[in-house]
Amino acid sequence: MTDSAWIMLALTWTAVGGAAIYLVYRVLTTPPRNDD
Amino acid sequence: MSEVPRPKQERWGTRVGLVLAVAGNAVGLGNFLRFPAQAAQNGGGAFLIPYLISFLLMGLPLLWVEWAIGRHGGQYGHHASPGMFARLGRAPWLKYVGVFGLFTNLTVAAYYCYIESWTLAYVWHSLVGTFTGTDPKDFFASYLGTNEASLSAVPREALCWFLATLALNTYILSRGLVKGVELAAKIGMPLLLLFGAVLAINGLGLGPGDPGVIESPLVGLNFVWQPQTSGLMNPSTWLAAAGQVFFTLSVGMGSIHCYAAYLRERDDITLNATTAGGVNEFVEVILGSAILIPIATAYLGLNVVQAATAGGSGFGMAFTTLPTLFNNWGAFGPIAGAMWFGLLFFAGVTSSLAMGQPVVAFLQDEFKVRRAPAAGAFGAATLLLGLLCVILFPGGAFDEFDFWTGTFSLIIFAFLEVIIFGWIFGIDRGWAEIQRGGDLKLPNFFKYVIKYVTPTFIGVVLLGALIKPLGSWGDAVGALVSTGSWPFDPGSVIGKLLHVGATEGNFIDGEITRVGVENLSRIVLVTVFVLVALLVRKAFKGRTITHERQEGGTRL
Repeated sequence: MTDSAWIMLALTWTAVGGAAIYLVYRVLTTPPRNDD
Repeated sequence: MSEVPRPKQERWGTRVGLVLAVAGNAVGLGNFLRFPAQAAQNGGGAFLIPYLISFLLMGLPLLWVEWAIGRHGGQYGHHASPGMFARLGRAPWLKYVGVFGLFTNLTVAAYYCYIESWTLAYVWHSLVGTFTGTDPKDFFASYLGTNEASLSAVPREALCWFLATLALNTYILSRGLVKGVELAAKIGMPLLLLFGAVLAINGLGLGPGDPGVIESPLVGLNFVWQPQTSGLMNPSTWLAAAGQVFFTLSVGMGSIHCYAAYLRERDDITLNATTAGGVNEFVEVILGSAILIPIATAYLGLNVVQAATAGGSGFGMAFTTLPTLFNNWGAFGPIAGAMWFGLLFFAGVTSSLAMGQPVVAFLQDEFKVRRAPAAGAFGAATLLLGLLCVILFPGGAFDEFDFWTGTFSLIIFAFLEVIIFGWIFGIDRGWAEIQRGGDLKLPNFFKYVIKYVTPTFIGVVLLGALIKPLGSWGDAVGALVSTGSWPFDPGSVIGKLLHVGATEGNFIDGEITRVGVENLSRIVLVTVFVLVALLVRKAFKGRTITHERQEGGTRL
């Protein structure tokens, strides 16, 4: 693979993968609201 | 139809179940078969720049809008789009915009469940070793009935698997939201991720010493990711990227609205919607680019893969090439094949359930039909429409359904809904609706994106679909200036309507032609749309739209 392909892959996978993992973590750790 | 009281509204059992169900709705066969081919053919790594921009300015805003419309409608007891749209304003025509949300799901399910049934059949044939002695290309043609010269076929095995798939979908839908749809997502999505990870690691780990390998799989990965920055100046690249974002998120269907309608008034939608979109992107961008093309390149070489994906789809390779390539994996081959098609099946079934639920919910809400008969009605309607796609598959009925319902109808519905949300419901009310109860604070900047940028984005995609030219856009403009005529691509909406490139009529010597099959399919689709609109009219006839909200259930 060329350097530019590696860079593009690394940047995108980090951004997309990082965002997805962070969001799933937020969903799993945010407690339900009890403000009825 | 039997009248039954509904003591309390159905709700999602868990928040994780909801997110997995919505992510499962979005994750479909296109994540694995269409995305890598689209990226490779439209600028490689550079494709991701317009792709991610489209995701931020069109995809995410549409997700929030659809979740907000759904949760808002759900508070009035509507879990299907006609009722939801009726609540967005006072105009009586609004409910008819919601017809798209039933029509699209019903007609897409007709051919989508057929593809889903292929994946189930291929799981079986992978496990029993069919592809060790049979060329998958011959098998695929025989399976679909395209090995004959006729434009119609009755492929018995394919029909059996189709019936089994429909029965499974109907059964799961009849079990209800928590015990059916949510449970299926909780089982299907983790297995999909597991199978995808195993195949990607095995595929990318192939080396020159492995049996049958002629090239490094990294050459295939390079084909997908090598940035060709010249592509960024090409309007086709931007249209392809926006189109891929649009279709991968399953927006413009009415299924996200339906799932969100089972939330309570102050349940979060910002974090849930964004996470569901994020999980879909994870599967598409990471797993989607790491399986099909790298493995195929390792065994077939880059030239073959480039030719096979030239049309922007890896569909053919998935069913006609990969089954043989897994034979090189020894004893693990049949399991790898089952995992590949199992992954596609889970991607498919979690999407087809999302197509069924709005139809079931509409019959439950507006006609007080019990859940099981409503699921049965969806199964029967899908079977009737699906038979047309199965029998006339060689004549192109399947492709015709895919184009008008799985492509064009989605764009129209999304365009109308974002206009109605931002301009009729009102962006201030809409933004408040999106933010209410939100566990993720969204920048105010998106309020203006939803009102101005997203409709413009979809409008451009719609225009691109309508008048897509044969050849480059620059050449087409040149032709318009010099000759006064626009060279429509046969695959554009207008090109399709005019049957550009076709020389035959509907019949030749009493035999239906391909053009005839296309026109017959269109007549059926228009008839279905009108019938659904009449059903909506009947459901709301004489009814006063009040603003009394319903409540019940537990908070997520």
